[in-house]
Amino acid sequence: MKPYTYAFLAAAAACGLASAAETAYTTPVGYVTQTLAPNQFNLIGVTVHNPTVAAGVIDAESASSITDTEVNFTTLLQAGATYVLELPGGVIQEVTAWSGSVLTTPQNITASVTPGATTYKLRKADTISSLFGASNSAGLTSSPDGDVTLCDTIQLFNGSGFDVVYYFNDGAGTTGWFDEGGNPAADKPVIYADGVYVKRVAGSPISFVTDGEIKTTPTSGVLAPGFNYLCSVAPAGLTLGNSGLQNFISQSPDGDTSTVDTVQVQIAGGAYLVCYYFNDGAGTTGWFDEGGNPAESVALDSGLLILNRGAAKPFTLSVPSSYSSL
Amino acid sequence: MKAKLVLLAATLCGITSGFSAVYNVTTGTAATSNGIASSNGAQNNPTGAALSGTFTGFQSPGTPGVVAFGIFSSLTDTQISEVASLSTLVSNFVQFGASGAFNAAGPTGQKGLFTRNTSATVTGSQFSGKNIYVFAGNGSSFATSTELLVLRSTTLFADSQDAIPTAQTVTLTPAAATLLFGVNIADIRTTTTDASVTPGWGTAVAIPEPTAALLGAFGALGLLRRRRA
Repeated sequence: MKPYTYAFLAAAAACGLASAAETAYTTPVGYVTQTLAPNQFNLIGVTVHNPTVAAGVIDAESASSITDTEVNFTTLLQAGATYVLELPGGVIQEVTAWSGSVLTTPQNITASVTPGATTYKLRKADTISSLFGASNSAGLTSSPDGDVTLCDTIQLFNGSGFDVVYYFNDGAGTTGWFDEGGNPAADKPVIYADGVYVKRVAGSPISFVTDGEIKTTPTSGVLAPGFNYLCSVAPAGLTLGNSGLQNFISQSPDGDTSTVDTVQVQIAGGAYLVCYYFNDGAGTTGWFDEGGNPAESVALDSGLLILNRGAAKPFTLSVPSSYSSL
Repeated sequence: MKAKLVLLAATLCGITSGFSAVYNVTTGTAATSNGIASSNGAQNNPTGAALSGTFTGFQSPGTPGVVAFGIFSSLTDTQISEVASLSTLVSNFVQFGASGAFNAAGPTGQKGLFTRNTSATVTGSQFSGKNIYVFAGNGSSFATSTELLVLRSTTLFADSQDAIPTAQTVTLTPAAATLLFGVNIADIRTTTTDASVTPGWGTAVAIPEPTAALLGAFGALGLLRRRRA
């Protein structure tokens, strides 16, 4: 049995903000409930998102920027915040700098942009406080003294290890989100492409609810060597069978899971269902789990791991085909 | 503006927080993996010569078997090897996480292979610092099994694994596991296309202790032989 449950509503439309052309469009929205079990690491993901704050056509690009001449990002965006730039094909970028009509991109995305034709969306990234509440409305066990071994923690992979965040409450009026180094962490961004661990001490299960927009386009990224802590991005309907992941990971010709990339989905107690894609080169293909069972229908609707046994490589996570009608 | 917090050092004073460590104990899933099969009634002989001949490994759902890992609460390795009753092993085994069946055939026709990806707390538990023992039976449960197998892995349960969100994989090979109860098997074919000779292990029946009447009969026989002399 999965360690979390979720409920999703494909609800009413919402109006989003486009560029100065004042085009209104509808956006599917919903909410998701995930259960955070005690005494374990809970691998979760943010699968409903903040609304689009800007959208339009990219007018110009460089190796480190895109330009939309119809938008003044300086007046539109919140200084100090992190935004997620989305291209229709799946490319996303964490944007933390802008000036006038120009957004700075951390990577060179010119290969994915045709000026005058490629559209974009921009949405604000979630933060620790926006997800779990500025005053810990999520109800995680707080720490009275900064000892993170005795309280619930939110753990975000930083490329080499985990950034650990907890809620401090000394009972004497000092409260807030902090990291292990004692630095304020309420505004630490949580990018929706990333899986998040919530490590819980003893206690009762917590229903963690998020609400927002549904992203109807794929999401691309890069698989680093080793474990990659990811999010399905889609809240419902995505499975191994329709994810498209088999096109980006190594495929096993012989069922030996010790030599092939695997996709791992958390199950009861914090353990994992380890899945791989079989392809014997003679016509037999498909997703299977380590127990030899077919795994096409394994749901991807929250956090997931991809163990990459090779060099860094790109990947794209699809959305269910039904999302085109949302 | 919030000041940077000064972290206070806190002594645990014996207080432990019980996070779940995840272990993935497996034979592997390849044709070259070391599989497990029923010995078809052979008696426990962990140090004996490997059985030759054709043995078919356990496979879910047809011949599912049961497999788990954990520790034995009070039996020593020597006592495990010499146990005269399967029920002694069953009652002494302390399971880590969940048990399960052997692998299904899958796309390669797996036989005799298993993988147990499961979790439980190590810190402050009976498991802490102990070797991982693999326990397998030929029935749907250990209690209903008529043959059992015990392997001792060289890997220990570690407190530090409680702090790691991903599974530690423990792969069983003859070099990484000692047979304590069961039999060695010279060749177990673990996939349909497996044509290589790869050793494995077999579940076995216990060698019962002689009964009192039988001991008495041996004693009487000895007296008779002395009389004739």
